[in-house]
Amino acid sequence: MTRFRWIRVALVLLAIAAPAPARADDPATMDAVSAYREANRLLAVNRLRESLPYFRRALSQVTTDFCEIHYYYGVALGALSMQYASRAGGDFPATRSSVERIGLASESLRQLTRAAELARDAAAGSSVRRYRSEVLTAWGFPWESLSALEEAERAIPGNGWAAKQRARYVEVMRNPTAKRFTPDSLARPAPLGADGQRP
Amino acid sequence: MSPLRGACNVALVSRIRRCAALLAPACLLAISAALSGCGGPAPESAWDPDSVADAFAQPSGALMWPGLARSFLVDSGGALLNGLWSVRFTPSADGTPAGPPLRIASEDRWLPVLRWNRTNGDVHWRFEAVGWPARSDSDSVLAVSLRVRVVNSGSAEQRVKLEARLDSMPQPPRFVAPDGDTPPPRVLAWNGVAARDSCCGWSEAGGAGAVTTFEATLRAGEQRELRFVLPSHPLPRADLDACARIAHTRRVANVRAFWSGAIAHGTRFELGDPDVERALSAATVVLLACRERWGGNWYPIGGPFQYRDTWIRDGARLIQALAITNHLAEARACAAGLATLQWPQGPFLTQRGQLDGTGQALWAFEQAGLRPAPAPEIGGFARQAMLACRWGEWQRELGRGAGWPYGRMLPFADPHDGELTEAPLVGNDLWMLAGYRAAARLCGAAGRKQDSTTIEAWRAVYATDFADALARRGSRDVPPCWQGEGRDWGNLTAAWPAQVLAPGDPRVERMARRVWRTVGGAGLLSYGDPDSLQTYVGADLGVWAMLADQPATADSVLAAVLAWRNASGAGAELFSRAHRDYGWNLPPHPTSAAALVALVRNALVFDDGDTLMLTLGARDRWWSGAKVSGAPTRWGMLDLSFRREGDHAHWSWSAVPVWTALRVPRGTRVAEAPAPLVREPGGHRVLAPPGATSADVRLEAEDAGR
Repeated sequence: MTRFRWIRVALVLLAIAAPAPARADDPATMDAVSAYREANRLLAVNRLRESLPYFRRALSQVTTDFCEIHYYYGVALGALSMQYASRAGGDFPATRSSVERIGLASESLRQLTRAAELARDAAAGSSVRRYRSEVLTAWGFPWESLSALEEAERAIPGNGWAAKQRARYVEVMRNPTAKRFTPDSLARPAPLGADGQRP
Repeated sequence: MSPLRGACNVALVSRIRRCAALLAPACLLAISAALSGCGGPAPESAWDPDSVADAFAQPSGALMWPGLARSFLVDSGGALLNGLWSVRFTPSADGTPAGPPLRIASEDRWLPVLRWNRTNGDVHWRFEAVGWPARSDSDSVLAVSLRVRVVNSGSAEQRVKLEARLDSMPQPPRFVAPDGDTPPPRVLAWNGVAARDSCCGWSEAGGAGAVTTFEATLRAGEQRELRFVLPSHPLPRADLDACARIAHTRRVANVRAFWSGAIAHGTRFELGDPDVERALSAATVVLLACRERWGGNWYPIGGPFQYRDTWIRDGARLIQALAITNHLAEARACAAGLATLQWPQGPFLTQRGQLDGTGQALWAFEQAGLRPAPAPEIGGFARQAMLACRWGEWQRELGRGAGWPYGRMLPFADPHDGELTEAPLVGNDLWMLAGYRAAARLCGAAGRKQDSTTIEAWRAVYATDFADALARRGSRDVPPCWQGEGRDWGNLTAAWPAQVLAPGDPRVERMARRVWRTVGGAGLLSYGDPDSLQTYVGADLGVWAMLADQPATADSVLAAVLAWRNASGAGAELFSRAHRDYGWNLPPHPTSAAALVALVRNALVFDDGDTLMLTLGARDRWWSGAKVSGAPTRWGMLDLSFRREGDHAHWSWSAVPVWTALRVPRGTRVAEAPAPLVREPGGHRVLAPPGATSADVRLEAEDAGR
């Protein structure tokens, strides 16, 4: 529900900036609202690569920047950097090479940084930092991941989930050979702002 | 009618073939069969692939080209595969299928003109193939020109048949191309399609659909030829027709000229040791071919087949090997490619959990950027290196604040490779220290003196922290991990290339002895199972052995790397020693090639310190008289020649502004070194002052007077 509330807010913001409606299937000519709606639809069904041009179109058309668009664009980029797909009889990265994957993950981090700057409230900021932590964990940057968790914890004093997660991760870093730490799937982000509702 | 088609008839053949393409496949087959019998023999070099040495039980070959995104594997059954489809050849005589190839070999065991034979009784099928960019030098599609010659060497007439079938990859596939998918049946077809329609193969015998067949009756002693062109990507039939218009012999000549030119462009090694010289050429072919052009940049890749992707750990080695053998433009272009892989916060990493990438990238920038003089692009490398070092210091600062036992080292990593564990890895810190050293050098050369001084100060503290951590660990040698257990990998770089521990450090010696004990002596190391030999991970210990003045040990490592190569002169990555089988880990591997290049080059010219070191690991045979021309060093381009005559060793080399250390032949020591030469303790090396260009020393046997 929280996610839908944010999408409604975002669509209102986009509608203000939106030019005249254009063809619905071509991101290059789409209006911002339609592009953003389509991007989120594709993201929700894990069609990550296809969602990217719609996010870019929406971002290029927006005049009043807002957190959510950067967050979900960052999610799409980060998840695509780790996505596998069936091809030629096996499961292989959905991306062409590590060159593309590094580009996607790096851009994901930039988008998440911007999303954190634009977060309207602590809960949204915490969600963004949490996902940032997950991207960094998946790629193998322990200190950066821990820093992002600490930021998520600081964003909402008493954020039990972030505190617990940070404590777990500190233990893994202190003694990595004793425990394994499996990050959440990058393709299943927490809805923006959900952190504030967690125990 | 002569049994052979002559090169003089190429134009006529092409014209008729263009007309024939309009006819039904059956008519085309008849015309091609008729054409196959006219003219004189085509000139070609006569070499038999079955006479070429191959260390492995399973033959294979690679058809590849610098910059292109796909390659063809010639597998042990004689099929060609590009990762999305296969072209399977079934030759037979009087209904009996021919056997598989014994060898798949490159010309002179290095030049990528591949040949393989298949035989049934008196009928011999001789395959020859080359790859090149299909439609122009800048094309992104590889094309293979394949000629099949069938010879009836018996005394009786033989009915021969060759079926060539296009199909999807066998399941499960041994490798998959990084993009694209298997074409639909209408495209996965031979050239019996409309001129504008795409297809995946051109056969002189024509053929609609996925199968083309050639059949003929050969009299005793008669032979025939058949030509195929195989693109890495589907191409319009008209484009394939155009590719096929250039005769196979001309394609071979062009490919031979291209690779010969590429080799001639690099450092010239005249060692009086053809096996080593050809091995160097084979390695250089692999290094040059394992580069991809993407998005306007050049990137090193981990191999043409199952490792077709960019790993910094392999790419840095490829760049270094190209740089030290005067393929500077190629090395620098790949370094510039790696430079695009910096993360926003400063590190370099291409595969998750591989934190050694930062140090390796900086090392590669320096290796490519500072020989024989600072490259124009080092300003950018220096700026990025500073950002990377700041990231390193930030990591260490956070760890210091945590107060953990190994907090001042890089954090834990799970590289899914190498050490194959989840732990803080010693190799990550060794590489990071190598990266700091490289960054300081780069910044200094780029005129960023303050940055250079700052990084050098950071490095000194880091090195002290590293030594403290090593002492805390309590290991007698250099362990793979700071905590827990792992496989030996990055720790093997301690003396070289990381140069964190001195060659004389007993920990390095103990580490070398420990890892070599498993395999019965200095040579390739095992990885995991003692029977699984790894071709490159132990090569750094070979360079350490040179620096530690153990040339026989170094030579043993080089001998092992030389021994385990296929009939194209290429090494695999990992294989079973007992079965001589690399399984699905297909050669060639560029890091194996880089290891071979580094071992030979450093045995002759070592310039990674403050002293030029010559002939550290020169083999006995090279002392009969060897020359190295055009070797880029930190102090300019270098030519070197050396020779032993009786009890004298003589060197001449290009003047450098630093001291030069000269290592005498194995089994000897310096008896007399006239001034200004300075005899080093131990008597195996003399030092020549800056500016010297020749030296002559009198030798005595190692055990003389003892």
